[in-house]
Amino acid sequence: MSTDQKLENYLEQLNKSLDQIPISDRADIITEIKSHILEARERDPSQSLSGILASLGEPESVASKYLLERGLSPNKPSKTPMVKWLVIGFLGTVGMLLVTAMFVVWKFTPLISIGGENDSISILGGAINIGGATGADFTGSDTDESVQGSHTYSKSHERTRGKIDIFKLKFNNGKVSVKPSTNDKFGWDCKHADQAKLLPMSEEGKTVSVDVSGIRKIDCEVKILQGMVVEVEGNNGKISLEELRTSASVNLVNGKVEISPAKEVDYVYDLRIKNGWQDSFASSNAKGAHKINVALVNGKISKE
Amino acid sequence: MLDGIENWKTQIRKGYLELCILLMIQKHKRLYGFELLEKLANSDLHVKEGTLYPMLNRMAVEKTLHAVWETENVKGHPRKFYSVTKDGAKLVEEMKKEFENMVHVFKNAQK
Repeated sequence: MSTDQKLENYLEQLNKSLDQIPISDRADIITEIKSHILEARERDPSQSLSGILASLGEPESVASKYLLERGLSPNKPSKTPMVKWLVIGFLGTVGMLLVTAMFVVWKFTPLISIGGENDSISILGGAINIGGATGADFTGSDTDESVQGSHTYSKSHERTRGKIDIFKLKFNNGKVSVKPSTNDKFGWDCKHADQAKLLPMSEEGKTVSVDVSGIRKIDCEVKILQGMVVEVEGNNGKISLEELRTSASVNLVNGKVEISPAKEVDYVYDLRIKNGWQDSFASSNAKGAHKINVALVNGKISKE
Repeated sequence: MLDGIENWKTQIRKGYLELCILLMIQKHKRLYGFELLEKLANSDLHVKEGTLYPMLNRMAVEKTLHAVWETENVKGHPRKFYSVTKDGAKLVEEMKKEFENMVHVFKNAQK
């Protein structure tokens, strides 16, 4: 590099570092420094340019003194490449972690949701779906089934009460609603996705039991007579007790239990949840109040 | 401890240096940077050029000094001459009073 080039480079660097100062002032400063350098060489031609520049100091530090004298904050000294790369690496890692965390939160939100449009439980944003009697391939007997190419089968049974006092229903996955019968017969109407499955029914003493736990995605409507007791046991899904005029006992592992109390009917509630939450229900002290016992492991008991 | 004394020197020289620059320019009516550096050095006040020029620049901005570029009547390259303004002269008087007071206190403290 020629001495003139070296001088120009020095002045150029000084000019850059003074960029906070107006250009006319900057030009004045550069000219004065250049004048000083030329004077120094004139006075002592044996002196090297490098020596003169070294005596002045690095252009950045000279610039920072000008800035400090004017009450401006000097530009930060450029970081060494090592530090710069460490900073970039660190920020990059933090950034990637943040993006990943945001993706996970977005993908798996909400962590657990119960109910919703499908009356299902959704864990980790749908990574695990439980229940959903009105799910994708089991939408009842409406037009959806033909559109989706799936089939729904229906089995119903109706009988007079006779000596029966207790009706038991056991299911694995689906939806069960229990409501008072509108005639003098009790029974059930179950829709499901499995072809030609009989609903296993048994009668023992005063109890009639229906076990549909081997059938996928069941959707049962149980009609119950006054004075009977209904017991429903399920794994995943939704059980609704609609304006019952009888006592009911419900056992559910995952899902939602909906209770719609009938008007002017007294109930005594015994509601137990392991993980989840429930609406508040008012128990009555009245004699002859119907017992509503619910045991739920994960989910929600709601008042409808 | 040595670092401490260097820091102390920097602090105490700050105002004192400004006063000496003004006095030196006043004495010679007008001076350009390189000349001023030489004259201060001859008076045993060694200032780095990287310190002096920014100070001169600030004093010119504050109108304590008046700066003029001379391209004629000078050999070779243009030079920037500084002279003390009227306001600068008033400031010098105030500074001298303060400095004399400081010296007085300093001497009394040692008696």
